[in-house]
Amino acid sequence: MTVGRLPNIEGGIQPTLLTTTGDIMYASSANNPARLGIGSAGQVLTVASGVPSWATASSGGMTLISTTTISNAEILLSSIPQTYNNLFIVIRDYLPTTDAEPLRLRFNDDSTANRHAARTALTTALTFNATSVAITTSQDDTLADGIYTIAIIDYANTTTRKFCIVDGMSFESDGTTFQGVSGRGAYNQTDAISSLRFFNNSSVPKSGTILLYGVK
Amino acid sequence: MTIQIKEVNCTTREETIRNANDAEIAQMAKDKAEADAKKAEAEAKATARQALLDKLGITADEAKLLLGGN
Repeated sequence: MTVGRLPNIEGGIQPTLLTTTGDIMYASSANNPARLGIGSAGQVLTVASGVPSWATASSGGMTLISTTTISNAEILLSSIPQTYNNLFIVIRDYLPTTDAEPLRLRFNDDSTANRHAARTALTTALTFNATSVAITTSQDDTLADGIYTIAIIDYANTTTRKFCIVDGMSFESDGTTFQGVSGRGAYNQTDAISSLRFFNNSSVPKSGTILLYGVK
Repeated sequence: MTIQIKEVNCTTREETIRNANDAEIAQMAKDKAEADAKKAEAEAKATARQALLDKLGITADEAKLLLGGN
């Protein structure tokens, strides 16, 4: 018996109906197979006008956009979808190559002078005097045991300047004492945030994990 | 040493590892120079502060108390 493509006869479904990896077959009407092309990353399967389709989740919850392992390299998260309300970042077990190097964040890969600022004290006036924001403590380079969270609110709008709220802690090398950070960063541009660069000033980040979530 | 960049396209979820380009290498050097300058400035301020405390013959905690800080 030969196994292969069915001839083009009534009742058979041609494998050429599905043209792309991830395509799904459905019935567009009774006895009428149709192709649903693969959706975009993060989209969910829904029903519109009686047939299935891919769509961005419309409300509620957090969607994991990316999980990135740090391994002796700078990290550049680019082409961030503009379909969420806020971004939420979790950084686990970050280690620098050079002792006491905080992990830094640069919005939109914009290194123009005096567009970034960071403060830990609520009452101190914020001066835009930097090209990035420190988002961790001066991290020990031997014990990877810490967690930091960063929230970037309303990141996709194009009318207001952008802010991030940072909170986290990590253990010192003795494994019993820890450093914590609670602060805020700012970017004095109104552009939507489409990329985030994570780096060190003196070397490259050694290890850790960066999880980027979109929040509705 | 070759500096590497791990770039993640968050729309397609494609992950690539590449060498830093000339612009990125130049920016890294600039970042390091600025960080070194800020560190030197902070150290100079700390040294000057300690010299002043020594001149006054008081400790940092006593200076805070004197100025009403906490």
